[in-house]
Formats: sequence, C-alpha cells, structure tokens
Amino acid sequence: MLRLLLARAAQYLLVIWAAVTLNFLLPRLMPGSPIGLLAGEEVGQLTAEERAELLAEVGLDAPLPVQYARYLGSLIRGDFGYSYQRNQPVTEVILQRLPWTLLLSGTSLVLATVIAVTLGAAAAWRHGSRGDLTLVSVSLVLDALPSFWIGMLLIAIFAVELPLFPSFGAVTAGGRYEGWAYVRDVGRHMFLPLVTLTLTNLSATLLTTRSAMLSVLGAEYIVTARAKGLRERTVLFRHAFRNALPPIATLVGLNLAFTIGGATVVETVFSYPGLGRLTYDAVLQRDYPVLQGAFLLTTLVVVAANLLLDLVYPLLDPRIRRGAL
Amino acid sequence: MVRSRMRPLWRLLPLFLALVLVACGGAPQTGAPPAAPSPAAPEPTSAPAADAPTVAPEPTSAAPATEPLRVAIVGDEGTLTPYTYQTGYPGWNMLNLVYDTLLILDADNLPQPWLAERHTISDDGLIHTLTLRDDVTWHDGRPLTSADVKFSYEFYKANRQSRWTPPMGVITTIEAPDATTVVMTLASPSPAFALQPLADVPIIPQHIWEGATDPKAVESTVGSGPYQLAEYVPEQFYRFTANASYFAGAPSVPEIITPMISEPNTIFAALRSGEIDATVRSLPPELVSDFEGNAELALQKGPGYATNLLQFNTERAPWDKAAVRQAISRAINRQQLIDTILLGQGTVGNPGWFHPASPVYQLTDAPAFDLAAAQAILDEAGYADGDGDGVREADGTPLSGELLVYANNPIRLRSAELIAAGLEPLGVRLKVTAIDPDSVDAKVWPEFDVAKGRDFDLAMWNWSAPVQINPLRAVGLVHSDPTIGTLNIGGFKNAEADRIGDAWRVTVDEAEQRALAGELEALIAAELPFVTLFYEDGNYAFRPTAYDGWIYQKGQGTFSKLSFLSALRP
Repeated sequence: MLRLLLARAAQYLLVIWAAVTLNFLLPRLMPGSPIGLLAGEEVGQLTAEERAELLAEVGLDAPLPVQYARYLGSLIRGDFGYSYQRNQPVTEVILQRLPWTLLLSGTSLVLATVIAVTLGAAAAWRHGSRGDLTLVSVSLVLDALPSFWIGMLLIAIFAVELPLFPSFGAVTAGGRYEGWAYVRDVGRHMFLPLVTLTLTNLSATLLTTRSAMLSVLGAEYIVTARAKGLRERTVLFRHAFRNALPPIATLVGLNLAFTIGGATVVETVFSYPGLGRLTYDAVLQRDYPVLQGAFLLTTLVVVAANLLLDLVYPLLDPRIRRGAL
Repeated sequence: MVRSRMRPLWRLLPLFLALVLVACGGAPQTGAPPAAPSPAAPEPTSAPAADAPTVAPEPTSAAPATEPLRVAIVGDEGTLTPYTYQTGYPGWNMLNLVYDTLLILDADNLPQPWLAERHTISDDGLIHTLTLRDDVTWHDGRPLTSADVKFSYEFYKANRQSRWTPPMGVITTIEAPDATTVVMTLASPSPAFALQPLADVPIIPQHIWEGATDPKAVESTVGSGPYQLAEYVPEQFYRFTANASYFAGAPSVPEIITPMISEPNTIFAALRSGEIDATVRSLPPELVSDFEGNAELALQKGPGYATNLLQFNTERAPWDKAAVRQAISRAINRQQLIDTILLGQGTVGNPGWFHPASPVYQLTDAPAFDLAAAQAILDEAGYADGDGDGVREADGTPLSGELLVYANNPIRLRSAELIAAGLEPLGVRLKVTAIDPDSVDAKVWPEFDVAKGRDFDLAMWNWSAPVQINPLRAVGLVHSDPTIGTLNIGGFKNAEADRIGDAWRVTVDEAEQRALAGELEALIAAELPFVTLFYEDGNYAFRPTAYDGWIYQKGQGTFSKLSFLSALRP
C-alpha cells in the first residue's frame, strides 16, 4: 500500500515538474519580448546598452538553461518572483484576484452543477418527452453561443435597457459601502457575470448527466428494482443516479480545476478583477513571472482535483476499491 | 450515505435559487444610481436638439458638487507615479492630474507658462532660464522651489525612465541660483526642448524622492497638481480628490473616479446606462450616429493625431524603389478607406506625414488618387506584366509581397484588405497576413530597436498621437542613424532626409524650423518611406448633465488637466 502511495506521489511530482517546465518554456517561445513592458511607453528611444541593462535587471540576459535553473531554485524556496508590470510580488498579485475568481467562478460552478445535474437527471427520467427535447435543444444552443455574446446581450438588456444591474466591476467604483450594503453591492455586480458563466457551463454537465443516467436506466437491475415494486424516487436516486455518478464526478472535478484559471472571457466582458483577466493581460504583455505563477496555480489545482477524484471514485463505485489506488 | 447527503441538497435548491434572485434582484429598486437618469429621459419627447441647450447649462454647476465624475479608463496604470504609470494616454494625463510640469501644452499643443511663469532662451539657444511661480505648494503643504525642479531633472537623468530620461541627454548643467530660478545649459540647441522635457516631465518633491534607490518602489503620490490620488484599487478604479489650494485655482470637479473597463463594448454600454459619465476612449465609427441621437449624451469631436500608415520595408526589393512606392501611394483611394471603414470619421492622410491640423502642415497640393497616373509611373519605371499573371515585374522581381497586419484590429485589417484589392488592377499583388500583434511587431520592429533590422515586405502600422504632437519626431521616422531615427522601422536611407533632420535638430529660429519641417514634409511625400493613409477623428462621448466643461486637446482627446481648470480655457 505504502509503495503504491509513493508511486502515486512520484507520478504527481512528475506531472507538476513537466507542467512547471512548460510554463517556463512556452511564454519564452512566444514571439515578442517583455522589453516593452520593462521599458515603458517610449521603448524605441532606449539605446542598446539601456535595453541590455533592463533585461539584465530581471535576469533575462542569462541563457535559457540558467534562467530555468534559477526559476526552479526560487520555486523550491517558495519565491514566485516579481511582476514586471505591477512592481509587486507575484503571490500578492495573484492573492488579490483569487478571492474574486473563487467567488464568481466557484458560485457559478456550484449553481451550474446543481441545476445541470437536476435537469439532466429529470430529462433522462422523462426520456423522449417534450421537456426532455426542450432541455436538450436549449443545452445545445447554449453550448454553441459564445459567452461574450451572452454577456453583451445581458448587458444590453439588464444594464442598459432596464438599468437593473451594473455592467462592469466587482464593486461600485469609489463606493464606500460597508456591512450588508457592501454584500449587496458585491451581489449586484456579480449577478450578470454569474448568470453568463452559469449558462455557459450548464450544458456540458447537463448532457453528460442525461446520457449517464440514460445508460444506467436501461440496465437490468433498474428493471428488477421496479419489478420489486420500489418507489420511483428510490429507483431514481438510490439505484440509477448513484451508478451514473462517476462520469458526472469526473466532469465536475475537471470543471473545478478550470474554475481556478478564472473565466477569462466573462471577466473581460464584465471587467471583473479575477485571475482569468490577469492571465490574459500577462500573456499580452509577456509578464513572464505572473504567467508562470498563474499557470502554476492552475496546474496545482488540476493535480489536486485529480487526486480528489482518485479518492472519491472508490466511494462512488465499489468495483474500483478492489483495484486499490 | 449517498442518499442522506443528496436529500437536503435537493430541498435546498429552490431556496438557494430564491435567495440569489431576491438578494440580487431586489436591490436595484431602492438606491441604484443608474435609475436616476432614466426618469429625466422621457421629457424631451419632441425635438431633443432644441431642448438640449435649455436643459444642459443649468445642472452643470450643481451636479458635480454632489456626485463624483466617473470617467472610464481601459486598464490599470499601476501606482500612478512617474515610474509606474503605464500608457501615454490616458496614463500620462492621469499622472498630470497629480503632478505639474514647468510648461503646459494648451488645447493647440502650444507650450504655455505653468510652474514656470517665464521661460527665456539665450540667443545661441543653449541657456534656458525658467522663473518659477512663488505660490506653489506640494500636497503636503511644503513649498515647491527651484531645488525640487533641479532635483527632479537630475533624478530622471540618473534613474532611467523611457519617456523622461532621453530628453535629459542634451542638458549639461542645471543651476538653481535662487528659490524661483532654474538655469539649464544645453550641449546643443534643442528646438523641441519646450515640448519635451519642459511641458512633459512631471516635477517630483525632493523631500520624498531623495535617497530612493529603486524609483519603482516609491509609493507616495504627493505632487503639486490639481488633484490628489485618494484611492487606488488595482484592476478596479482610481479616485482623485480636488486640491482646493491649487495655484491655478481649485479644479471644477471636486472628485473624479476612473473605473477600469477592459472591454470597449462594455464601456459604451455603461455610458448609455448612466454608470459612467465619460470615457478616455473615442467612440468606434459605427456607434457615432447612434450616440448623436441620444439626448442624454453629447460628443466632443476633433482631429485625432494617431496616424495609420502603410509601411514599406525600404531595404527589400522591389519596395526599395521610390517609383514603386509612389505608384502604390497614388493607387490607394484614401477617401474611400475613410468612407468605408471609418464611416467618414477620419481625415485623409497627408503623404508628407503631418496632420493638416498640425502647426507645421504646409503641403496643401498633395496628389490625389489616380490609378491611371499610378500605372504610368510603373510603365515608365519599366515594370510590366511580361508573363500575363496579372503581376508586373522588372528584372525578374515581381511586384508582389506580404502585407502584415494585426489580427485583432478590425480597422487595420479591413484597410489592408481594401488596399490589396485596390492594388490588384495596378499589377501589384499583396497577400494580407493577419497575425497576433506581437508576431507582427517581432518582424517589423524586433525588440522595438530599429538597429535590430526587420523581416517583412509591407505592414499596416500606426503611430500614436505624441509622434505628431512634437513635429520634430518626424525626423525619427526617416533618419538613417538608428540612434536618431529610432522610429525608422522601414530602414529608410536618404542623405537629404538626414541633412534636413540634422539641421532641424539644432535650429532655434522658429521660422527656420518651420521651413525645415516643410522641406522634410515634401521629401516624405516624394520618397514615401510609408504611405500616410488616414487619421481617425476623435469622438468623445460624455454626459453633459454630469459635466460639460470638456476641452478637446487637438489630436489627443478630452481627458486632461485642461478640462478641469479655468486657467487655460481657449
């Protein structure tokens, strides 16, 4: 058992190392250079020596292997570097945005999962009914609509035509709210992005739940359960849904992992100060330390989500328990 | 186990949904600012144009006293010190709400007295004497003196900053003989010295910046400007409060908030919904007529100095031949580009670079679009379509190449496509390649250093407004010495251009400067290292009931100190 655990741990470390290496390499392989960011707006005016100095200040003058070794070294020391753009430690930059991402994307994940699983199970239960067809069609349409389009539409309707909700930001700019008023302000600002994100995330889970349920509902033990005269609810929840859970759990686990990456498009449309927008800006500006930090966080969460799934599967499906980890 | 967990969750779902709906949906009826403007809207039902003037002037004096003015900006400008702000516009303009310069550019971009009430230049152009006002204080109450000015300039010289440091290079010594006098001695005469650094570089307080080893780490924003930075929430907003004891009089708006809205569509939606009162972004052409019909909003219109170009790599055949560049320039219908892409919201490019609103613009008889004339130029230069493939060639070099363009910029992309289509009948074939901006930059202007060479045929390019505002920067576009021609991305080499540039760079006499500018303009129009296509006009939308004192600074826009001070109203 211990051996298995160690093997697993080694596997995860290998995955993290590979991801860290890619996070280091990919930004540097992109065309363009952070010199514009380091120098400021009049970069064209700098002499060759001044440019070299600027790059040397952040260690970009060293050959790639040296930079890589330094990066690994500082990672091991828990030093994530300094943002070129913001003159702030990367950890601080990320921690400022993380709560907003967790609030928006996390709430949306919970909402989307609960709604999608409920509706997906219901659709499968009433397979072939008008309700089922409607749900499937709506899901497919939602899946095909780009989230920025949904976002702009919601802004046009609920912020401009009927000024019910704010169209940008996480709080009122310059607003000095406290206590409940603050909570309400945050809620009002979160509403449109939350709806957009939830609508976007709904369909995959809904369709997966539906098909997982459908495959289970056709099984013989369901027929047996019904034949025993069990109540429909018992059949649905105890027998069918429980067996349909593994694929749903996989999807939700993956969604959980991506949640941390932030919802770039939605955060951009609504100017929400989360991690997705941070990462996007960092890509555009070639802010290598921020990119590395943000991608590393995503990597760790993906690995953690996988670990969680590995631990949860045996609970969901006794057959996996025998195979151990 | 599964069952016991699932059940309460099922039951909670409707409750949770209801909670979310109530919590978020219930709020707006009570105290939402966006609701305020809408009751006012239905009133001017009939002729909004006639009603507007009677409504507008009254509330302007009353409204700002209670509500802050909300002006959307696009991105984060850092801690907003002279070493951390990010963009030339609006970053520099926001910086200048907090700090002051020795001179200031007025609405026509001409330098006027500011911290320095007098600026005299010796006959040889080498000694600049500035007499400071004696009534200026820093936000912390200390007096601003010549020592601060001397310190600031020396600090910028010693601590590199890409905008402030290069113009300091020409200064050899700075003296502060008394509290209100600063004497700067230059190594050579510098015709644009008043524009840059005097009207450009912010003066910082010596008692705060002295001893700073890492200028980027200085967090204090104590300046002398009309506003103090009261609050900065990264990625969200800045809040400025008026400096009531400002030497030029208290600014007209007591509080300015600049929310950061990254998506342009959202900015204009927020303007319509009443969440913001103005923005630093010009309206895209397709929204102009829509906003003109909106009774609650008004537009400030004016020339824009950002300049759209078709840039040649003049080191690469056949684009190294002036005749080829001339023919292409004649065959581009600039007015059609403006009508089609900018829906008329633009000004036809002067082939000699300078915007017609610029004080040095002189080339009034530029040749118009003429395809037949263009064909004649190529015929005469010996380019003919020998193999019948629709592309002219000479000495085995076909007139075909790749036109690079930013994939994320619809205006430039459409321009590229229209230009390529328009050049086809001329026998010039351009393949439009749209790629991400960094990849274009990496080919056209590798590492933003013209000495690093270039790898492209043609590119759609744009220089921002500051390159037009200081006319002398035209020399940087064409000079063959990479330390002078820092913007010469096409590798243009022309002895006459170098001669004019060298002369202009050390000319003090204004009439002579203008004559040299005219010579350079004529040379650019004849040699065409690039085709100046058009300048997008500025259309700045704002809510007059919130504030209507906006001043349009030529070529730049409305968001600047000028808009909030009575001292420099034209």
